[in-house]
Amino acid sequence: MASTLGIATSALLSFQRNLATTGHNIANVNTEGFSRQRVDYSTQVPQEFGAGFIGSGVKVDAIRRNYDDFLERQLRSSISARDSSEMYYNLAIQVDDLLADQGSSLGPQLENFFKAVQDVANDPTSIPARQLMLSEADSVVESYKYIDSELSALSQRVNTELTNEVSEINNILSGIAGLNKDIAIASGSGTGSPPNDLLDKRDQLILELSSKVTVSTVNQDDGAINIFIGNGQAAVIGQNAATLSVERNRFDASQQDIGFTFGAGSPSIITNNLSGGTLGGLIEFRQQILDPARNELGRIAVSMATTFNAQHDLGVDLDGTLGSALPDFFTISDPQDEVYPDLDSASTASATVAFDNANITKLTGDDYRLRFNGTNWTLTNQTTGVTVTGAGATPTFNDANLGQGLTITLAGAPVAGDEFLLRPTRSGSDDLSVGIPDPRQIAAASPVRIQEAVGSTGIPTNTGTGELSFGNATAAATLPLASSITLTYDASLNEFSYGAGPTTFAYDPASDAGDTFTVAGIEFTINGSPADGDQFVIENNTSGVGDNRNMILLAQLQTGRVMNNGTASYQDAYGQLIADVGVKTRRADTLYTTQRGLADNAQMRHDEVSGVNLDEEAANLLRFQQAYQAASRVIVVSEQLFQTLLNATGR
Amino acid sequence: MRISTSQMFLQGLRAIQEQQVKLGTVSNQLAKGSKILSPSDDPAASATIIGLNEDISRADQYDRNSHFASSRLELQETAMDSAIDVMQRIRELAILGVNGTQTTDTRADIATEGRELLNQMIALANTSDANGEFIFGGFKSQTQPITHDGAGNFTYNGDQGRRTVLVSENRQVAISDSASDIFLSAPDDSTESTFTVMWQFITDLESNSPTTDILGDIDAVMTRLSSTRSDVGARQRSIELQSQLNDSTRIRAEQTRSILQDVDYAEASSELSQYLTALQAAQQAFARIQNLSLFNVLG
Repeated sequence: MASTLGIATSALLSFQRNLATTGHNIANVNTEGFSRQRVDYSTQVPQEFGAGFIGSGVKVDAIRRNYDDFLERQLRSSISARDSSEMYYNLAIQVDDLLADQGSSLGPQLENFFKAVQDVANDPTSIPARQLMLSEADSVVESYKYIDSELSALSQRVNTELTNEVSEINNILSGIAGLNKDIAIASGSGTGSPPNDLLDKRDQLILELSSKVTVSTVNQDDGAINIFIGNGQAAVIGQNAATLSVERNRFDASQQDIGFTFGAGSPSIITNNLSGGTLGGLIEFRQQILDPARNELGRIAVSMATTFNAQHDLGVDLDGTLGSALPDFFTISDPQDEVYPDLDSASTASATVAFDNANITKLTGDDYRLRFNGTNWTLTNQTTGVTVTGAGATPTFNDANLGQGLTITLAGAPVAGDEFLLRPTRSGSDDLSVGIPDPRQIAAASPVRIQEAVGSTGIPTNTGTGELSFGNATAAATLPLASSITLTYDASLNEFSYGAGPTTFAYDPASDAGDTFTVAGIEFTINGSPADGDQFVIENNTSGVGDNRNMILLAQLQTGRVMNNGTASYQDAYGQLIADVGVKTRRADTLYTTQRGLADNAQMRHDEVSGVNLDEEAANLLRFQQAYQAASRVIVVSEQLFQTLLNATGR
Repeated sequence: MRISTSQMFLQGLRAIQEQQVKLGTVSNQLAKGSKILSPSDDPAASATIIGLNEDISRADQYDRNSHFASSRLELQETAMDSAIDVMQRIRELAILGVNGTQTTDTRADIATEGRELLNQMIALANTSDANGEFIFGGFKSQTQPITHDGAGNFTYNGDQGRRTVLVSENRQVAISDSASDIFLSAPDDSTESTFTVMWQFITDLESNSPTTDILGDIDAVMTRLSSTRSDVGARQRSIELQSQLNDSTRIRAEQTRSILQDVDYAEASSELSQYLTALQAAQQAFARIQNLSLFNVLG
């Protein structure tokens, strides 16, 4: 009888465990990272009877969690990929929208500006038209600045997020190290049962870490898990965790890098080694979209301002002042502001960077790195990877050896290992401004005019049909003309002569009509047949306020292919920027959609093993309740049998 | 295969959210009338649209320039028509003046009218536009082109510049002719001008010695005026033609832009109702599945 009672009691206790475990499962149905648990039983050691063995009940071996290491790893890597593409996409779409937004986009502003330029061309003496052109120029500048400030705000946000992520990652790493310790202690306690909830907690932390950066794990014999990030940096070894930190960039203090320290010592920079997770997404976004977009926008600003200024210099304003003697129409950023010496180097080497205005069409939006190897400087284009070597300690990189719209001059005494980071167009948008304050100073007219010689009353004296175009200045240096130049035609020699020499050039009406000639830097075409002795006068365009020739040349810059080696207009370049960011954003969107699907699948397969199903638990509840009731019944029966015996013997 | 309760819940929720996202996108497209909400929806089309917007904006500006040019040329036409009328009258007076029946007095009367006509002609050559610019002064548009010392000396103070206006990307039309071309250059004699011919006519009459020689000079001036007048007309017509070309360029650009970005309302509306139905189905499925629990049955 005693054994029946014992068996029943062992069953009751076991089923109590079962009911408790089922309750625990139900209680944690919504707990992140919880793996459903089950009770493993076995029969108790049977007692030997004369006739054989008789069972002595049931015992609980262990409470285990339903867990698959392979599925867990798959889940981690899919979550790294998903969260990386999500972060990247969420940031990229903001740039994408910003560039094309009707309100902020550069496109409509450029259109309005050039409309205003044409209005001045139509009516060059109209002060209101000139005023409008200046205010539209301001709007263009504001548009560049606005977009750049939004990009800069995004850059700030990336920095803030990096700081947050780093501090969260540090918390997680120390949490994992702490749990490694707890788990080692619990596993060593000798119960034989795994510390399920601690294991779940640690897996959940590793999952959260995976959401921030790609990790790899190695299981240890004592139950600890070692964590590696980047390309093999040990983030957790047993009970010790590494520390990540936010470090200033070696060149640019406003740019943040990720530092890594395990134990003592100074942090090593691992920014470029990190991938996956929100941290990887942030870094990739900064490298692939944010920085290139700012550089490119700056490049368009610099190219626009440089080419517009160059043409504006070749005009004269309402008061007859030469454009080159006026302030620049647009004030352009100084690329020198974006020269970053190695903050850790103390040598006297210096790098001077200037835009090469004559070759501005070759300007790129790329970053460059200069490095001195002890003998020569090497300039590396950070985007294309192309390198150019400049001999000696003080070489010059220019159109001849670099050909990218820049002139870079090195000076001082460099030491081996000296480096400079150059981002020539980075502040092109932010530092752009309109340099002309007075609408009268818009140089709408050409500085010279060419006309037939006239008599004292202003009546032209030529008798032939020869006609010269009004003439365009090609260089500001020769202007204004010191004195008028009179071209006299000799019909017998078919040539024009001018000056004291005199200087001559041939013009044969039969073969040269429509050709372009240049005298004293003034370009003009000749048509028709001048009579012998006919004279044309090249003179300063005094009082030519109604002249709009320079304005028309400025207006034509709107469609001029002055960028990308003469293949793109400003608007084309901006369209390419939009398309480029659009393509990257779209790719991120597609990637995110794919990765989300994969992560969902991984989660589903993981939960297939580990997730709690309430219906299943309800059924189990029923099953264990019934078993518990049955065991109770065994106790009742056993008690009744005992009573029967008592009653029988008590008589 | 098993499925966890939270997966059941999440799957149902995800299905609802997916439909909501689609619904949000299509209703946003309908609201904006554009199927491209962000450039990333169609990067290549977005870049093309930027270019098309610029083309359309430029076509608008060329339109505006053409109107401006037309109105300037109209002003010039009016002035030149008047100048031709004046010369007609001078010609009539010249024929009248040489008539042997005229006396010193009647010739003086004709001369008086001639002086009026001369003043009118000078005023015409000094015509200014709404902005106060002299239209026949060449580039020196704020300098009065013709001055007269009252003794037959006429001075042209402008230059030979001609302002042009862009009526298309590569096409410029002259919207002004300087007085030196119109009034000062008589085709057969470069020392004479419209004004000196008129002055000769007047002084001949005043000295009672008109000759028929003046008629040749008057005809030369009229020929010059008429030929410039018809040249202006030709420019007007070419502006008009260019305007039509610009219009068709703009219409083509607008059509292309429309194909690239405009939402197809029929298609979008049917998508909208399709997503609505799907959303309702997802919601119903969610509600029904979430109501199912063994615990409900166990009581």
